[in-house]
Amino acid sequence: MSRRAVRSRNPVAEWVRDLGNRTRRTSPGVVSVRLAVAVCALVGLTLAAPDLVLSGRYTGFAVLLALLPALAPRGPWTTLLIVVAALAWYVTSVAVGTPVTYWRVVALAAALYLTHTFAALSAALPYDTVVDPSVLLRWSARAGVVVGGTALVGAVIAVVPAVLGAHPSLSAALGGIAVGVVVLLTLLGLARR
Amino acid sequence: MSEPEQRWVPTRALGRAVLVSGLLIVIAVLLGRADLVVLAAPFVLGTAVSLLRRPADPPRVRIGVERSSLAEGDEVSSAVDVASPDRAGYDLVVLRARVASWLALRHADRPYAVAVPPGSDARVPLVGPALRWGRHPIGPASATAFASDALLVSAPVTGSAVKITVYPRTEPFDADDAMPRAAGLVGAHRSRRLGEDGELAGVRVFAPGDRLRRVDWRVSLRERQLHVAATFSDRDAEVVLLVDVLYEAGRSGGVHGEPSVLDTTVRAAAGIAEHYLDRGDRVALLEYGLRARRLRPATGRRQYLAVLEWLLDCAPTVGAGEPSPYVFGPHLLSGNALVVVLSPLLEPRSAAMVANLARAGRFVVAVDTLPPGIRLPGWGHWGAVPARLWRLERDNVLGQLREHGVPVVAWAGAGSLDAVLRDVARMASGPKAVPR
Repeated sequence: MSRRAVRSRNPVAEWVRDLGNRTRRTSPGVVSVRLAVAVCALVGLTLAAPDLVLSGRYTGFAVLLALLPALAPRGPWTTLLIVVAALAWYVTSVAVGTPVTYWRVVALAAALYLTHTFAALSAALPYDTVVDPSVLLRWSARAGVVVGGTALVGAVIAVVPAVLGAHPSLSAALGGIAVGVVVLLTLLGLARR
Repeated sequence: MSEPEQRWVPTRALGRAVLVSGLLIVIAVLLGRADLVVLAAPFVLGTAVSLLRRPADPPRVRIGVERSSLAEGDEVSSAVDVASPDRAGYDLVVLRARVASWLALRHADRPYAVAVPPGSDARVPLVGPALRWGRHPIGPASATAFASDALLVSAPVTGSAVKITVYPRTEPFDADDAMPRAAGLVGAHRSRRLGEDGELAGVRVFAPGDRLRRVDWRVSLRERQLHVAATFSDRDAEVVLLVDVLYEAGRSGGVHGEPSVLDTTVRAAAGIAEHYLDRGDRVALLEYGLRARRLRPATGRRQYLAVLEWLLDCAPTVGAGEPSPYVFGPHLLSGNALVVVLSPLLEPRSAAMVANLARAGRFVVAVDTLPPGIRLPGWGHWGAVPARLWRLERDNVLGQLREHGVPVVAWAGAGSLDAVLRDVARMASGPKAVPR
């Protein structure tokens, strides 16, 4: 048996060699998308619980949680991160008393959506794909439009109680109804095609 | 009844968007928190807007090539076109093309992601040099389309492969010496026999039978006796290139790298054929391998193209067998033909075949196509001894062939065969002992 055949049987060495090959072949386009996922996730966690993340106690945990969707975009980590961020937002606003401001909630919504959409793009791209710049530009533009729409929805929801002099829970109910209408219209549109 | 093919399937991202938005909306309504509705808003909006511009059909993929025939080292210009038959485009199409390893096409070794706008198509250029002769496929190419912000993915679509033909770069070859024996009194070679043609052999006294147009009036006036200009006759010849494909040795480095045995054989055969066909000779090809392919003798440009096409299909034979004596042997070769055997002479079978041809009275020249710097498999410091023994044994075989009257010459491009052709021509003009 040749020396090469003996060498290839070592699983650790093979794994290291495979990792080296994959690292060498990883393309800049894929790296930039995965970097965008990690940055958006970290920004989302920071906006959700600024006191916890910036205090230093949970910074490492937040960075680790933000890296997971970037490293394994096809896994369940993106869903987990969004749920954890929403939970952290609710807990800090209720328990810690962090004020809920319009810009913070819109920024958090944007960060979580960008994490979601860039993770979806990242999951579609094999690690060594050459990515045409137009893909990234068009993807970012569409995400920007959705974020703009979110800001508009946020403004409407923030303004309605002030105008009507109603309780904020009314906004939640109205918002829920609006979302239901959007979902219904989408389903109707899909059924027509 | 089989299930209809599902063209688009949801991705994990669609499940995530539905789960997150549903969860946030329910909690928002239950707890009366409007901020959670804002958190859910981009997921609902993004999903709704993207699903509304969902395409119905998968993409169409086609591979195009600018030139399907080129020479080694030439630039291949091809492209994969992805078209959207639908009004909606695709946010992302991941393309993978399988390309022959001898085509160094840019981006061909990895997937390529491109966007296809609605109603138009996208083109991924695959450009690069063709490194080695042969028939090389470009493709098939598969495309996986993602639509609605990668919430939906299509079933992979495949575009069929296109074959390109890369002809060997002919090594320059020139042989000045006469052919050993010619087939008829036509052709481009000066023979050793006097006859009616262009090249001057001398001036001699007129004899009965000489044509009047051959009279050299200037010499006749000076000598006061009729003299005629004597010329050599022109004769044609048949050249048979016998290509030994029993074994491949050495690692081919392409057009700019080290040649393998088959590289040298094919390029040398193309060069020799081009030279003799340019001079108006008839060239035939014969393969010494299990297939024993044969190309009939012919002349001209068309034959040159046929030779190149024939050479492209040369592949090493695997196995210990040899062609049957009914399909391969001296009976296939004309008695007047010059047989140029291109062989690495690695096998006793090859040497025996060459010796048989020589014994059958054919004019045989063996061209050694084994690359001079070939590396033998190394077995540490013990490898030097068997390597030396192998070289001695091979030198012995070459010596035995020379004893049989077969000149063996290493291929070295232009002028490789001049010295040996001169020897063969001299031997052909001399008396020959034929065993009865």
